[in-house]
Amino acid sequence: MEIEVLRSIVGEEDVLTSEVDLIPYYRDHHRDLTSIKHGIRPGCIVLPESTIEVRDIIRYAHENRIPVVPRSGATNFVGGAIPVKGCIVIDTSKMDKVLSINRDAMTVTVQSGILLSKLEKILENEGFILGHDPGSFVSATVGGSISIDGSGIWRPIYGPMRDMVLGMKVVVPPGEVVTIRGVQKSASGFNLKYLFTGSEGQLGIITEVTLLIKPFPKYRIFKIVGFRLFKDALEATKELHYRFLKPDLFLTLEYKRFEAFVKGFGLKKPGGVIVLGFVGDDMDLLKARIKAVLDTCYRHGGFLYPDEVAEKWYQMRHSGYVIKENIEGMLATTEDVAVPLDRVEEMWKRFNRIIRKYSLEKFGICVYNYPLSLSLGYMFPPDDEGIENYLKAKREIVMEALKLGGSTTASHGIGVRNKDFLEKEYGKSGVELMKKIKKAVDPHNIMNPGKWLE
Amino acid sequence: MSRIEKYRFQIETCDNCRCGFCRVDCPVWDIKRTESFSPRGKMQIIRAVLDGDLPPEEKIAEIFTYCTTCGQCEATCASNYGLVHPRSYKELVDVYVSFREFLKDTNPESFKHYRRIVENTMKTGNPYGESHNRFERISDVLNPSKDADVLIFFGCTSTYRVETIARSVASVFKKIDIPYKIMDETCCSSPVFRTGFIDEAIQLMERNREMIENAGCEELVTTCPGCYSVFDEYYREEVGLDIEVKHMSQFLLEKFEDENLWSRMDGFKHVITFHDPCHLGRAMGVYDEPREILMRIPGVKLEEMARTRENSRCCGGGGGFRASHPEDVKEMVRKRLEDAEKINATILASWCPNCILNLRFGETYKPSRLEILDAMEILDRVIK
Repeated sequence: MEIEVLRSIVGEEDVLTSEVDLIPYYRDHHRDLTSIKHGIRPGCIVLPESTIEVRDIIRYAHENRIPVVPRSGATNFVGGAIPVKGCIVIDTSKMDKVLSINRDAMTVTVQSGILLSKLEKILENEGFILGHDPGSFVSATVGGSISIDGSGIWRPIYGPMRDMVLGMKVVVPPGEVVTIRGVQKSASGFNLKYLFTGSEGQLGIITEVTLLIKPFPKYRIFKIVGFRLFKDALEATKELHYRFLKPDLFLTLEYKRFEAFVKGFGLKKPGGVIVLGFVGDDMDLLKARIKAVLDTCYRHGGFLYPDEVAEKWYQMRHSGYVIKENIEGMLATTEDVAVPLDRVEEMWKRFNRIIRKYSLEKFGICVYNYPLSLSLGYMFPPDDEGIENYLKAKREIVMEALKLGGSTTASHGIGVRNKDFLEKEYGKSGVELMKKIKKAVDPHNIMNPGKWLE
Repeated sequence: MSRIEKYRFQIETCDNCRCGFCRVDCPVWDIKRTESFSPRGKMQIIRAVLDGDLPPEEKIAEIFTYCTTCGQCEATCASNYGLVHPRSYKELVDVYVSFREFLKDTNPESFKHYRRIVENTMKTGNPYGESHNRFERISDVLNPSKDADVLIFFGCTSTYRVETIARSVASVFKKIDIPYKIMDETCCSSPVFRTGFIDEAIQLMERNREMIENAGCEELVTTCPGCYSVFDEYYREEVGLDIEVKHMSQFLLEKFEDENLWSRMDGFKHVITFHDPCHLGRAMGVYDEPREILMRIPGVKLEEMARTRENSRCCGGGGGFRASHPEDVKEMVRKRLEDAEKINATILASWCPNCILNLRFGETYKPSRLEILDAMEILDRVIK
């Protein structure tokens, strides 16, 4: 690799080659990699500041058959930003500008490396909200969230990330910029927007994005309903779905997943809770919606927690598993499988059996609703035995989800962590089709190689 | 066991997690944008060095001079987020300080600016290397008493660099007639300790501890948050100092309340925005007292900047950063001045000689419509 060429594209300071600068790029947030010995040394890091610079890097990499690994917040759970040996890591941290806000069209156009948390602050000052709020909200980026097809807690009202994306610019091999226009609906040709959403940097690098923004709500009300048994919470959840009662935030949690948030309140332990959020400008309308949802919960034995518990949950929503890690020195992880609504309870039972079988510690299940997916949380000590048990348990959990007609992942993506399941989910023909698409777009296989398309 | 080894758990926990919440508001990552300069990247580097995977070379030492010890990483750390598991501000900052100690002897080039601070301090008792008596230029307003319950520790920056603050402290105490003692101060050790020269810092602590104990006062009051946090935390741990330590804002708020001194204040018709010093706010949790005092000055209206209190943006003035990276400090202080410019205020106030020195330094190349004042300077103007 000719470092001088890269320096001529992005500037002297924005190409990193020293060992100390490379070490923090050996790994991402992927839980399996507990030491730098498990990581992989990239060839160099480049920090472009524009679409044109990214284009020139890809052009150079394509011509010289050098692998390229895109990276932004590196908060993904599946090793999607792990380098391959000798690759160019494109770190989009300097591509973090808001390019324009169109108040009348209700859109914002940003560079893809902007942090979700920074973008939301800027939008809030302008009276808008994007509404993508995953666990990694603080440090994840817009580009990363699209690349893994992420979703957050406000999905019932604002949708998963894919619903917020209107248009984008993507740099693809051999160094071309594809522009997808920022309109709310298009039936024009293949839907390229959805092709790149969830492609995990294997087809190209998203550099600019136009997103749909919404008015920042006047009221934001949270309610938490406890249930003696988690099963009761699931029954209430199902009824809310069957009646299409749709809160704006709607999570069903096992108590374990919730206990850190009620610490200090001295409240009785439930088996499970439903966390609800409602947003809007009309208080009367909100009250009516809240009443309808709560009445349904009460019919299943639900009892309301004090409002300050709900507020505290919202404030602390991003701390989740990390708290447990820091107290107990464990590693926490989740399987974010999706199963049909009528198989949720069965999946929960099978998950419990697997956790018991491998003597792992559970920190609980969370059911995300509208669209429905699960987050099955558990912990393991970061030693050889712990990791071995975790790997076996992970495999069984995902396989059970697939047996129940489910999908491997709802929001985390495939990366390297889930690559073995892809064929089991889609069959040979499905995976072959994906590989053909990859080959057509990236014939030299330079874009984020070593992940699920190999 | 070296000091850094005591933090194995914190280092490994962070290195296993790598969530990156810490990067988001880190003032260094904000200007550098590369992982090795981010808090999570630094933790990975520390672990690699401790595990023998990376030699503790000069380049690493240089990276570790890039920290203002502002504690923003601790405030945003996912484990601390939402105050579920509140840890001391010190925990992550202590990791960096301890690693500086680990690196300092083998990497003289990167630590040369720090070493100059330490040599100055050990020789002259202040990091600036000034040889004149620190009280010489404020002797006209200084009025210490032989018999007082309060010992005022003025600190090096107010006496040697922002003399108007030291002068204001003496003047305010004179006006409100509170007896106080002073001592033959030596640097509190804050810049020496925070740059990783722990042994030398402990020597300085010993010098001051003896004088503080000999003064026989009930309370030690400092107007510099750097001094305050070092006295209240490290002096207790390292040299067993046992005295009530207060920041000037805490002490004065009590006095103003007890003796109803609010009526002694003239009107001061200004909109003030308050910059939280990192070593007062995030380090010591003192956010309300300075605001309470400023707000109760007749005519004053307080307006908050977007980043305030726990999330206050570091001005870049701490942790030896100004000495080692003056150009980067310009960028940090510019950003803080821009935060303040967005507020419809006439005064940017703080309660820290070091922040005031740094913000005024910033103003020399980025002129601001705001007047930059320490709260003590404001009080001296308004108290009759």
